[in-house]
Amino acid sequence: MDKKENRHHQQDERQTSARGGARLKLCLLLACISLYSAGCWDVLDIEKRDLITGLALDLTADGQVVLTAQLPIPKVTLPNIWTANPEDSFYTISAQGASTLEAFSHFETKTPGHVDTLKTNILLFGERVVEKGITPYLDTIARMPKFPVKSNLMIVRGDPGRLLKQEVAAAILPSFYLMYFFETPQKSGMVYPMKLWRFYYKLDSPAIDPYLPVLDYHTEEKVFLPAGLAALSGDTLAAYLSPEESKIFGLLSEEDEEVVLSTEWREGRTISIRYANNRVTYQWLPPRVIYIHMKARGYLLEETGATLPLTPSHLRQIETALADKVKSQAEELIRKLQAVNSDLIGLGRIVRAKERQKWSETYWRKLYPRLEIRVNVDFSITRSGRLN
Amino acid sequence: MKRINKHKALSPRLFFFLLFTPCLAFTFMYFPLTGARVIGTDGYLAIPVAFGLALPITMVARHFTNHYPGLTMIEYTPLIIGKTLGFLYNLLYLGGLLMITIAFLQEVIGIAYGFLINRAPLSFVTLLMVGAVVYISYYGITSVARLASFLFPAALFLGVTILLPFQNWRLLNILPIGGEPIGTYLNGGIQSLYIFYPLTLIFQAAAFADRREKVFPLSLLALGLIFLLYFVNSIGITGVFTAEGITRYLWPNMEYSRTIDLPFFLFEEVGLVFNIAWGVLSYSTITIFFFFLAHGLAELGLKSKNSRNPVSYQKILIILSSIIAGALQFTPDLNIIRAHFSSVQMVGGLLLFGLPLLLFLCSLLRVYFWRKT
Repeated sequence: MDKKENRHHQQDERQTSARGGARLKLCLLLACISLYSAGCWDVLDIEKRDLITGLALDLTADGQVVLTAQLPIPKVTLPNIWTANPEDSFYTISAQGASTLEAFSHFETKTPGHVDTLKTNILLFGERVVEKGITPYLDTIARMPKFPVKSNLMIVRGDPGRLLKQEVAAAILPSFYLMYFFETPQKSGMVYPMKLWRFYYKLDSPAIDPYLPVLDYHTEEKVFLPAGLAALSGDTLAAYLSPEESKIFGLLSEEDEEVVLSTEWREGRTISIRYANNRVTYQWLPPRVIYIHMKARGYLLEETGATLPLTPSHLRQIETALADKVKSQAEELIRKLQAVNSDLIGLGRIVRAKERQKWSETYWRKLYPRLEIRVNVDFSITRSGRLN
Repeated sequence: MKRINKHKALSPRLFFFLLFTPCLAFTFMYFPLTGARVIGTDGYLAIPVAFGLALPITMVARHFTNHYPGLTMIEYTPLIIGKTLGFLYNLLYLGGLLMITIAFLQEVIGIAYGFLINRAPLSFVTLLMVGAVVYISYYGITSVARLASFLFPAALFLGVTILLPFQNWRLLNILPIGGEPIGTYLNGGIQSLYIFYPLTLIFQAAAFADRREKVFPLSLLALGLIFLLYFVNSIGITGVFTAEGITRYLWPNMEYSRTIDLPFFLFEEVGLVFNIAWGVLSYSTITIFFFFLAHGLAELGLKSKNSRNPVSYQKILIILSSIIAGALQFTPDLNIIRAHFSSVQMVGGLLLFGLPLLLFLCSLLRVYFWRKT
């Protein structure tokens, strides 16, 4: 009888367990249904959305905010469809307002569907905005939960809205062109991409200043061109860096992208290398000396007088010439940044790490221009391609 | 709906997930804010301090599990401090649990409205969520614990998402380490103690454990894992955003997950998947809170007996859920709750951690005087 009772008990338990499993599955199904049904109020077909893929923000002479948006026409932008006029694959609209939000709300009056920023991958700023201080104009964008935080930010020295209207020779959407350009790792050494989330944290941190890549456009060839960097001090434009200076900035800072450097190592003979690995350490010597020790490795790409095999002695001379060039350019760049009180490299973090009790933003802004910053460079060439 | 006659005992696995899931989901989205605001660049050190402060709770739970096997705290409190005081104590304790349940529900709703839905009426969302929670809680602790264990892949996903943003991590952003007065770190730890508030469920959950000797090691394991996850997360988010950068956001961990760049466009936006994974864990957490709230209220005023025996809490569950659903329409919104967050923390700490510690002291005194006489 005991065995029979046990068997019944076990059967009961199995049934209860199976029912419990079925209940669980039903509950999960209900939860999924509830999730979807709660979204019913927010359903919007893709045909009724006007997706902004590129946005430009500028100021008029009298301080009004001008927003220009690039909107693709999906049925024309699909693959395997060729349009006679590439510029017909998108259109641009502009709106003005006292603030960014006011200008943004005027977009809704100029589009048939609902304006959506889910795919806004490019954000261009005009010089005037950045000269005045970018924070108030970014506030509404910062509050939008669906605005892509990985949008690429850029500054344009002319009218950013005009740039959004230009077509490109590659016959793709201009904002997509820029997006691919910035996200291709092989191109990152030419222009240092600045994502929106990264820009925010550099804006918030008192120990480092943000930068913006500068964008230009070649009218004849119909291509966008990187044109260096814009250094900010706080949230205000401080100085422009040339493409060559931008490379040196990349070497000095955490933006460890690959760059191509060239220098003359003997009379009439130049070498070009691509640096592949860079280790930078910082040394703080109070009260106001910072040493930047850089250990860089590079691949030899070109040697214009290479009629003879390069000997170890030649390599050493090349490495010394490169190290001297990088050192002098780095120190020149740092002096330029100090003059405009723009701490692009983030040396404030070094001093804060060592002088925590003393450090404050005010302290740093007073100290930074007076710092003595010395750069030591150790360059080694690790590969020379296929040639000896 | 069928009334259950017995609560089934929880296996060690289910018991572990019953503690682990609420602790993981409860403050996961916004906890780095506290350390960053109170301490600064090394605000992540608040987590080990909070862990150290939460550890005694597991030992207190072990003491009660050994002395009052098979009883929940609601049942053995009157045995220790008397009927009237015990009733008041339990009421306060359950009030604390109710407070954090409502605060947590506001967070979940806030994130849903922030990132997922905009136009759905609040009453509809609340009714659906509460209804689904009641459905699971109605069938006993085994259903609730099984749901928590079933959602382990979501917890695993959260764990992976904590590590992926390290691709943007910078050592300089987390320096300096130390240098502030000890009091600052202690203050940060005390203010971060709310991370471990769900651990207080152990005082009720231990009564349902199948193997009593496993309660203490499992609770330690849950606490240890949560500490590890939160600590690594805190270091990671500080290294990516800096302490000042964290304080910009309402839900820093949500923004942290959105910085992930995966190759080949595997996921263009990991953040939304992260949101959903956390959302299902939150749903499980709410079912656990509801169950223990209703069960605790049902046990008020009853004579102590084995917790696995029939306790009619289902009616209370339905009434309670109606009250909570109604309260959510009228309680202050998330911004106001966050503005008074320190009060919520303090009151929650006193009720959920302070009361059990006080009870422990009373229990020790009682044993001391009993032995003396």
